[in-house]
Amino acid sequence: MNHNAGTATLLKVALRRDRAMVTVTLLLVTLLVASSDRATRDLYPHGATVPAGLVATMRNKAFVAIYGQLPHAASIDAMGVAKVLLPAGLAVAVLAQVIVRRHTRADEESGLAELIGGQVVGRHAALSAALVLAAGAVLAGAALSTIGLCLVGAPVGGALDFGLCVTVVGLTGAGIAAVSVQVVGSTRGAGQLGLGALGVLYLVRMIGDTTDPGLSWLSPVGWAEKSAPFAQNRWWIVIPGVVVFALFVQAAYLLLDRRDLGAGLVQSRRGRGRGRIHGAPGLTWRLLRGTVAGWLVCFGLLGIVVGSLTSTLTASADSAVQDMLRTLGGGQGSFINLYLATEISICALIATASGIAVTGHLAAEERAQRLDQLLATPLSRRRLLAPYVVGAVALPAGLMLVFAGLIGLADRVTASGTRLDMIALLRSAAVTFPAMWATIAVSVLILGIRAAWTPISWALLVLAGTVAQFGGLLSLPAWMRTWSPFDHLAAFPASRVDLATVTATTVVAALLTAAGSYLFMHRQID
Amino acid sequence: MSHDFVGRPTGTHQARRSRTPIFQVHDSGNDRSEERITLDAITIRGLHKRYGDATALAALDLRVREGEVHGLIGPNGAGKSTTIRILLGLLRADSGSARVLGLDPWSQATSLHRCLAYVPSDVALWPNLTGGEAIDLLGSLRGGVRRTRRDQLIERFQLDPTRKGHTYSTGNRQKVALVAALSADVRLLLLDEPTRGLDPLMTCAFQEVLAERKQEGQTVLLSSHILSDVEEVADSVTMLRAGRAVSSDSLQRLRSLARTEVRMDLRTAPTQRQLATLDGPQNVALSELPGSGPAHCRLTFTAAPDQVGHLVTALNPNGITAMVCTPPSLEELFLEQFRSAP
Repeated sequence: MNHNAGTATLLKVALRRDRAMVTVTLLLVTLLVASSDRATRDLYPHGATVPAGLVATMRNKAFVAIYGQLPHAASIDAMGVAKVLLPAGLAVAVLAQVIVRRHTRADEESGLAELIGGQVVGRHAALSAALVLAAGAVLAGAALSTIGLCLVGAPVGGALDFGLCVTVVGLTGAGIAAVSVQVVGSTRGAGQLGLGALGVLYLVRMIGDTTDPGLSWLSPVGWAEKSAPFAQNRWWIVIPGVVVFALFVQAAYLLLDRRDLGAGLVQSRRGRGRGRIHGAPGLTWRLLRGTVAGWLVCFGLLGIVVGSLTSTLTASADSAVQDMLRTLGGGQGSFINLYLATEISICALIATASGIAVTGHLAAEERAQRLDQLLATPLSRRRLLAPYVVGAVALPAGLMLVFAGLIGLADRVTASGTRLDMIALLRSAAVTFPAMWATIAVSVLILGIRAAWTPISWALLVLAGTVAQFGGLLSLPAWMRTWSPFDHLAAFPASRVDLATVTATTVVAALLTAAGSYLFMHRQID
Repeated sequence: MSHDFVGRPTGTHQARRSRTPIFQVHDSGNDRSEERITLDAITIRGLHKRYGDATALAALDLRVREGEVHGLIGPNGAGKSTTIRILLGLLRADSGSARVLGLDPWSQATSLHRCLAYVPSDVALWPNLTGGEAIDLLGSLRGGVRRTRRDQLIERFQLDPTRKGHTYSTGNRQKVALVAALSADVRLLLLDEPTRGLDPLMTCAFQEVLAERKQEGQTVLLSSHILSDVEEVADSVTMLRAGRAVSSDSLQRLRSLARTEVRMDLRTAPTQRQLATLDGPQNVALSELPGSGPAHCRLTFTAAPDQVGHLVTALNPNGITAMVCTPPSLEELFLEQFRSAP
């Protein structure tokens, strides 16, 4: 029997299930790419030369570590897309991973694959359909960003090369996911492996870029920057990109043939036959401890990288750079402070995701009907919810403190002259708390209304973050910017803290959390 | 008739441990000493529940006496799970009243849950927790695990408690929930299709355990669409259809309403006249028996249970050599009810 029989049908179903997610993500990526280039073009109108100071700053190791290397002989468009090249590629890669996972491992876990497997459907059909859809989404994302860049006036050649970079990173993500869902027997575990592998590739590039640029060639994520869109336009990186994708896919099919439906390559280990989990806090900790550890490691690494590179920043940067940073969401103040404020506000957005993930976990537990048995015991709704609320509030705050603390420590180890003020760093991390809590509080409120609606809070986070980070770039109207709690985030230590705003945001966060908790305690369990 | 709750506060530790029944008296105005005291563990009156524009429950009435095993049967979508989830306080009824062990399940859920254990119809386990950990977690939330009872049950259900939740089959997930619920020291068990996914041997083990729990005085509400499972263990049944109780009665009484099937082997065939004088039998069929046995013909008919003796006497002169009486199965009762119901 043809192993791929039924792929077309499955593909149609998969497309039907994912069309909204794919469309929205790709449009957001396109908007981000196009608007970033447009904003840079507006800042330096045609004919103007790129200021040397700006180039120097973007060649600074601290920037290179996060955004990648700026190509030689960079044009204005190369500057314009430098900040979004890797984020766009990675966003498309993560989207591809989600698609692959949803239609392979997740369906096996829910039993849907078994239902489908009984029909006239080949053994490879589910994976093939998932890969076709994921690759299609990657290509669509590449095409859309190319079109977007052309629309804002970028040269076609560079725009095409940018699309190829997105393709390479995106396909790598899809390939990694195809293998990881074969290896690990659970959706969550496969997701963590896939994201982790992508993270390692990013880290290899980061280490290579800041030490020996040759190393970055080891990572497909590095190929994207090596391609240098709008400068050298090395389009041929797409060849190794496609080869790597083909190898991953081949490996995935080989593994698929060697494992049972529903099982992973890695056999699930046995555990203890007696439980040592006590009460709702014990259960919540047990379910979330892996996630918490992962977040802590990520933020620790980020802090060390940012901190160890701070000393390489020149204290006297030219005004053009400060202009740029300010538009990118900085504030007033010295260059280092501007830089730190930018990093901290970006990390606050990411840390907020950890809080939303915690409330989202409770919603997922409810949707999986695991709360029914818990709530049929004398456990009250309040005691069930409390550890999750505490976790959602404490985790992002803790992450920011770890991040800021490690910036200070790493700086102390690497810097020779002036050192960063540790207290000021921790304070600047603490200033981000209210905005994070307010956003997370909205997710608690949504959880209180209906568990099935909690994915909305992710969309709101993306929106709030985009408005705050790119509000200036996109010249969004003021009312839209004031709506985002992150826009009220004082760019401390770059500028002064407005105590009234901080207090008001905290109060709003507390009220929303209380309202969400009340609703959760008094609503039906779906 | 009212079903007032009379007794001391439920949900206290003492009440749980001593398993003191809480009396619910059917007070019809007579002298209470003469009234047979019966207890209601669950009283549902006029319960309505809608999901959007779909009606799940329409004026459901249900009574479960303390100490009985009560079967809740009906086809898929009849409202069995909705009923149980309302009794747990997970769902809120649109109107009507529900009392469980004298408490309101929506507003007094936590106190109520000290006295009951629940097995959901579709058991979802934590993927990374072992079965043993899940059992002990649910036990500890209830205030402590009864170790020996838990271990005995694990053995009887042949459950491997060291495996992770996501590696269990449907039947094994069901066993985890059953061990957790049946080892609990509670007065009421709410079991939503508890034998789903269990093999016949395990179903049998489950029925044995259930009989033991009944001996100990636990009340059980058991939902199922597998009627034979309920028939083995239930004292009374409520049949649900489209969110309404079609019939609620003891099995005994239900059986008396239905007809017994009788098959007799006779030496001499009854004459037409003889048959005509017989009062009551229906679906009469007469066939000749080949071969050289003592009987020459076989007579089958159905009759009301209290008429069977009279018919045997009437047919005795014809020489009965063998006779089989089959009381109606719940299955037949069920089909009969459902055919006749609106």
